[in-house]
Amino acid sequence: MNDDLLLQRLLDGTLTPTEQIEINQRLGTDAALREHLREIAEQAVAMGDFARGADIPDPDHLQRANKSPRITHWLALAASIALLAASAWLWNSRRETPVVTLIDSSGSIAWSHGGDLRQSVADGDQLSAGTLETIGETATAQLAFADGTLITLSGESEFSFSEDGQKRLLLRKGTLSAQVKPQPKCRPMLVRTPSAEAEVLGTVFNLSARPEDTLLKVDEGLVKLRRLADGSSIEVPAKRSAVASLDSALKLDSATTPEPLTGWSFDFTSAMPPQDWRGNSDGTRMMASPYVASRKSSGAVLTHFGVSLRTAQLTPPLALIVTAQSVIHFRLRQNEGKPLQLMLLTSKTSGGYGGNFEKKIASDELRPDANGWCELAVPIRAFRPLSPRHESPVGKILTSVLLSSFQTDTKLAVTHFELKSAPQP
Amino acid sequence: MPLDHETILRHLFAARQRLSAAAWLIVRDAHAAEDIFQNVALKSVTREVSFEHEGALLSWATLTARREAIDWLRKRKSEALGLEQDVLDLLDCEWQSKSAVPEGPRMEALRDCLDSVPANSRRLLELRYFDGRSCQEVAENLGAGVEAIYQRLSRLHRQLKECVDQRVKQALLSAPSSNS
Repeated sequence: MNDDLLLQRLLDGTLTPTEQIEINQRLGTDAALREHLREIAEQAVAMGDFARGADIPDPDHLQRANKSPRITHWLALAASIALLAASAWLWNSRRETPVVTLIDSSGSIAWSHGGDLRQSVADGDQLSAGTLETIGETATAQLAFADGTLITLSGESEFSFSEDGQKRLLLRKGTLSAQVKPQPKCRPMLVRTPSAEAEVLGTVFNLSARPEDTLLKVDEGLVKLRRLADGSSIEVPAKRSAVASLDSALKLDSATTPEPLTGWSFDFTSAMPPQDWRGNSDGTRMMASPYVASRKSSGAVLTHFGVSLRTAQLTPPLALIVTAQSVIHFRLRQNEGKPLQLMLLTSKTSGGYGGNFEKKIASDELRPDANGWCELAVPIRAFRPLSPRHESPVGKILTSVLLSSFQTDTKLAVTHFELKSAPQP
Repeated sequence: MPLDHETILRHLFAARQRLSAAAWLIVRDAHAAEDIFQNVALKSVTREVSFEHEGALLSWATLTARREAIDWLRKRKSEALGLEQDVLDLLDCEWQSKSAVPEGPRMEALRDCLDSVPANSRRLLELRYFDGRSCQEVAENLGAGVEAIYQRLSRLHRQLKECVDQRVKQALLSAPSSNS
């Protein structure tokens, strides 16, 4: 039996069970046959309109159509909808459907929607489509969609989200990690940044929107990455990473993500740090710069001065894993002998927020040499968690390290950072 | 900034044919497909929903139309849907991917083509799609065999498609000269 007859009998409901399976299989693989079926459906609807003698209004001229002498039920519908719309707006405008739930957070977070700005959001809050900002180096927010998809934002990130059958996210700046539940095939989750768009059907990945490019690191599944500069795209499978630059002359390609490291160092005297790390480098040292540490209920901000190493944003992507033997080492100098704060920001190895950990360093723990330089070594056991939900950094991925002075600019400068593994005493 | 209600309705009306056709594929009843589209339009401005952009609105409208169509089918008929979920997903997906193409000129061409169909063929289409008769009932009404009805319908659909394609092509070709 030819395809046309099969389709007619399908629509007539007279196929045998075997024929029904056969036509569904054909429709699943044959785009031309699906197009033919869509055509039949559109013709059937048009035939209904034709026989009904309906005057379908031009969608661009709904209002003008009201003046037409050919009043049909369409005009009545348009009129009743307009009335309903006007009255519905009054009670509907502030009662949008929640899209995500904030399930875990730290630091200052602001959520906004339309003209509304809610400075403070708390864990458990349900948020409708809008924009969420994590303010300050140490702020994090973990959001859950209704289907269990988790998005974690960290650092200074700005992120808009909506869901109406399809998740559409916009990461204007910063970093997110996502654990995405399987999405409908034709409605993949879309994540856009200023330089790229990622299409996701269900996977675990990290995405960083940097000033000139987007870094994608896929842990599980497959992500399609499209470069906005020229529309080119690649599929990035698990354990691989790719950078989509605004410069389309650069090749869009993926590379194997390096295995996690337990030791790594960065020498500010010989290498320029990435521009999205906190601080100002002169090529020989990294000088602390101000950042928002927290926001008071009055709206006033508390400023600290710090140097950060956002290791999650390095290319090729680096995964630093914290062990019980890890030691954090800095070579630093201050103009004043003030206490410091050392923060570790972590993610879980499976993706998602791993917690923030702090070590306050008293001024007498710093022992400067004759030139004012101090060698600071902090074992991992000295860090305390900022939330009881995340007890220890051990076994987590170090996404950022932040060294700060409290509120005062002590002209903190750093020349060397190292994560190393030392045997326990 | 969410779409305002006027914009929502304009987008929905612009996609009316596709949304109604998607519903028709499930209910196989032109009147029901029309009612479903109207319900979707009403829900889009009276329910607690907001849409940041056209794509979000049309995704929501497609899903809502499908749910309404399946509900309609459950309430009125006991027959199986005939089309599997994956196939419906693909069809919806392809319909949505066409949402950037204005459907107005194509629908206008389709109406013109239907107008030019011979009376006996139009009667066949009317019985099948406006009256919602089965092919067996149409065959009895027209005094023909059911296989002949299947074949005539199949041929008519292809002729209508060719007619529409040709008219749209002609309209495109004549567009520059009409400006001169």
